[in-house]
Parts: sequence; C-alpha cells; structure tokens
Amino acid sequence: MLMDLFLYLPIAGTSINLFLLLGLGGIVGLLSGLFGVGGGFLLTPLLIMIGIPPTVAAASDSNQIVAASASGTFAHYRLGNVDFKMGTVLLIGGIVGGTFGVYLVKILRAMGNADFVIKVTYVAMLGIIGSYMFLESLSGLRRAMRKDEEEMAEEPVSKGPSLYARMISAMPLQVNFPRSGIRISLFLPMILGIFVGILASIMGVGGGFIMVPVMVYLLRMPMHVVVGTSLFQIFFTCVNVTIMQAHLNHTVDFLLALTLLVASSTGAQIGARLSKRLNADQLKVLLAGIVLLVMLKMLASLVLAPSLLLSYKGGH
Amino acid sequence: MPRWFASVILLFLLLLFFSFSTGSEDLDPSLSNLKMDVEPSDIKIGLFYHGAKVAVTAFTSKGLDVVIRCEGPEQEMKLMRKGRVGGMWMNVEEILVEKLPAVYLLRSSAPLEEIADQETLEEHGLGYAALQARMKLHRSKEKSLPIFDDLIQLKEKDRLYEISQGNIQVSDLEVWPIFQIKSFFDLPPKVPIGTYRIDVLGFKKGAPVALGTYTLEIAKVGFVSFFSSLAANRGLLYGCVAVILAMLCGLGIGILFSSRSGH
Repeated sequence: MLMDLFLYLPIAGTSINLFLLLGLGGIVGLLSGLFGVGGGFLLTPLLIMIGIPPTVAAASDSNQIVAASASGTFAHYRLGNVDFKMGTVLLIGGIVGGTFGVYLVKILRAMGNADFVIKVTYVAMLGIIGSYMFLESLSGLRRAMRKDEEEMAEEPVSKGPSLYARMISAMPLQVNFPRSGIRISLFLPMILGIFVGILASIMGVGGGFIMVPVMVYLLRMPMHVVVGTSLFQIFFTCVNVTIMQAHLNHTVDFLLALTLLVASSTGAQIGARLSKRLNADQLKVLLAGIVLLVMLKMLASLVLAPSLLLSYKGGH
Repeated sequence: MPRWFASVILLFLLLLFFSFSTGSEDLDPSLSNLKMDVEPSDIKIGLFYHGAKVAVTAFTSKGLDVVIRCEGPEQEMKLMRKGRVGGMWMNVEEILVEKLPAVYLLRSSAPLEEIADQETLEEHGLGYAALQARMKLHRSKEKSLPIFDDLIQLKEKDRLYEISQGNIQVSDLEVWPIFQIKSFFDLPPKVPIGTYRIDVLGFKKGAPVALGTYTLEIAKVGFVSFFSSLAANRGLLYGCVAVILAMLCGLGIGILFSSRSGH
C-alpha cells in the first residue's frame, strides 16, 4: 500500500511513484560521491524514461545536483580531498568556455544540424574517454596484481619524464597546487577548463564525466582529490543552470528536485565513503564501464530505428 | 395506488426534471436535450493526485446508438520528427501542431462507422478522422511525410487519446421508455488543467437526435497551485529559493552524516 504512494509534480504536470524517485536519486547520488560526476548524463535520460517532460527533467536534475554536489563537496572537504585553488581556475575556464559554447550551439541550430553534432560529439567523447580509461585502469590493475605476486622483487626501471610531462613543465606561469601535489602552468587548467566548458554546453551537461578524466590524465592529479575538486566545480555550474532555467524557461520542478536530492545527498555521502575503500584503478574501471554503457545506449538510439518517428520537442 | 398510475406519475416527474436540466449547455437546437450527470463534478489536482476515474451517466430512450466524448482544451504542441541521415536516426524536422485537443477520449455503443456516415461523424467531431480534418500543421520542411498516425500513437501512449467501443453500460430504469446509460473515463495523471467538455450524443438511423453536454473543470489546488504559479510568475525568485533550499538540504545531510560517523 505504501509502495503505491504517488506524488504529483507541479511543473512536470504528472505523478510519479515516490519510491521510484527516491531509488533513482539514491543510485545517482552514490555514483556522484564515488566518482565526482554530477550524474546529469545518467539521471536526465532516466527521468525522461519514467515520463517526466525532457525540458523539466534536465532543469530539475541541475537543481538536485546542487544538493548532491554540495553534500559531496562537504564530505570530500572533510576528508581533505578538495583542491579549491585548482577548482577555481578550472571553474573560470569552464565559465568562459561554457559561454562561448552556448553561442556555438546557437550558430549550429541556425544551420539546422545541431542535433547531429550534439549526438555525434556525445558518442565520440564518451567512446574515447570510456575506452581509454577502461584500458588504462585495467592495465593498472594488472600491473598491481603482478607486483603483488612478485612481491616487488625487482626495482622499477626509471624511464624519465614523458614528452607530455616535459611539454607542460616548459609552459610559462608555473604555479604550485599543494593539495594536488603538482606544479604546472596556470594556462593548462585554464585552457582545459575552457575546452570542457565548450563541450559541456554543446552536450547540454555539467561536464563532470569529461572533467574527471581531464584532471586525472592531463593534469595528473591524484584520483581522490580529482573527485572532490570536480564536485566543487559542478556545484557552481549547476547553481547557474538552475537559476537560468527557472528564470527563462520555468522548467525547474522543485518538488521533483527535492525528492531526488534527499535521496541523492544521502547516496553521495555513502559514495564518498566507499571511494576511500576502493583504489584509484578500481574507481576508474567502474566509471569507464558506466561511461561506455551510456555511450552504447546513445549509439543504439542513433543506429536502431525508433518505434515512433515523432517525439515531443525538448528531448535528447 | 394502481401500479400504472405510479409509473405515470414517476414518468411525469422525470420529464419535469429533464426540462430543468442544468448539465446541458451549448446545445444544438435541432437535437433534443439529454439529461446527464458527471461524477466527480470537478477535479482538483493536489499533491497526491494520480489520475481520476470519471463516471458519466445519461438517460436516453430505447434504440439509440450512444457516443460519449471527453475532450480537453486545445493545446499547441511542438514535435520533432526523426529521419535517417547517413545511416543514423535523428531529429530532422520541427512541427507545430494547432487546433487539436490535449485530451480526446471516446466511448461508443457500436463501431463509429456503423453509427453514422463519415460526414456526420466529422460534423460532430467524432473519431480521429474528424480531428485530422480540423488539425493545423506548421512544418519546417515543405515536402514531408504524413505524421497523423504517429501523432495519435504518441498521444495514445500517454493515455491522453483513446477510442473504444462497447464500454457503455445500459440499464433499464423500469420506467419505460427511459434507459440509463453509464460509462467511465480514466483520466491519466498527465492531463493538462483547463475546461473539459463531456458530450453524450444519441443517434438514430445514422442521424444525431439527442445531445447532452457537461463542463468539467480540472484545476491545480493548494501546494501544487502555489508552486506552479510561483514558477510561472516569479521565475528568478523561485530559482534562487530552489538553489538555496537544495544547498541547505545537501549540506544538512552532509553534516548529519559527518556527526554520525564521529568526525
């Protein structure tokens, strides 16, 4: 009887089972705390699938990510996992890139092929990031297992710094980021922030799942600091998106967001604790698996014939 | 009192009741007025609203074919049509649909094509073909595929459109020649608010002879109404409040967890 409790969502204009919403929020919050991603790339399609209008799903999702990322950032801050200095530099880059990206989308829409560009970019980015992370972290796990077996009998051979490492150390304006334990040029996180901001606005997401691999592979930050710092940045992005959507499109359903955020904030706390127990390679394999699954789903929707050729405007 | 006398008195009272009918408005003057009733008389959408079952009762004479229609307010719809480009399926056309009701539910005592000819059905807005005749399309591509069948499927998937035959109960009132007919509509949770019109039409030998109309109001109330109007009229304030509450909630849960874990 209690499981039949439905909640009418005022802006979405439909009613949804309360426990279904709590379940979805909890799972996405868990992933958010575990990997430092906002979860928008997962939750928005799931909400559309259960009957929420696409525009309301995307806007309300940003609202709930505000809570999940606030909760997750706080949890990671207490664990010493947030690099505020790096987060701020990336955020400034992200805002510049995001603004430029919005104009780019406008031009693409006027040209009439925005949908094609958005979907193909999505699949390509998810495919490249997911595959690279998956393979790299798998080989990392294998290396660790071999090391255990050989009980580190041999000393590792020092190869010297790679071409990429030499390149970034030669860039001007080198700055220390003590929390991440790295020294790099200020330009690098700024440029990467702009790049992710452009991609995020083309794809219509917060960009956590692009930012995390960028921090791990290009900025060489430790995985646990990456998660906390990514959440810190996602928080500000989603505050901006929520206010803009509520002001311009009136599509934020606070009741939907509230239900999701109670569950997702709790999930984020559990995720943050779990992330301490798993090692970096295990975390990366799991995230890569999820990214690849989403990519396959998107690829299937591009290649397989839909059951209905019509849909309400606003969907992906 | 003789039984026949009691029947005459009852029949007289029923006829008197019909002449003061309040349910029928906006009637075609050539059709006789059908007494009808709708339960519930209006629908209030509150926090736990999950669709509504609407019972329609009407009184007809024997031998009539009956059609009951529930029609929602007209609504503009923006749709996207998918097409195949370079082996991939994607949105290729934007379509604006006008002059279609948001909700169209219809019950009939027999298949529509057996009740009246196509022209009569269209004249009274009965059946999907009648909707197609009045629909207005604005398409971004001049030469394009027809979409009406897909549009109906899309609406039927949301249970906002439905045509069914035989879901009308007929019961003898024991007062010849009056019969009571009853049918139910299941309004899904997704119904838009506004003024709905429920019509009961009686047909005899393919021609409409009786009509009853009821106006059903569907409105948001209480908390649902408050949030809807705040979001629509004070978007910026609503957005800021939503962000602050979300932040406080997230931090609150964070603090709760950290105090529980003894930090």
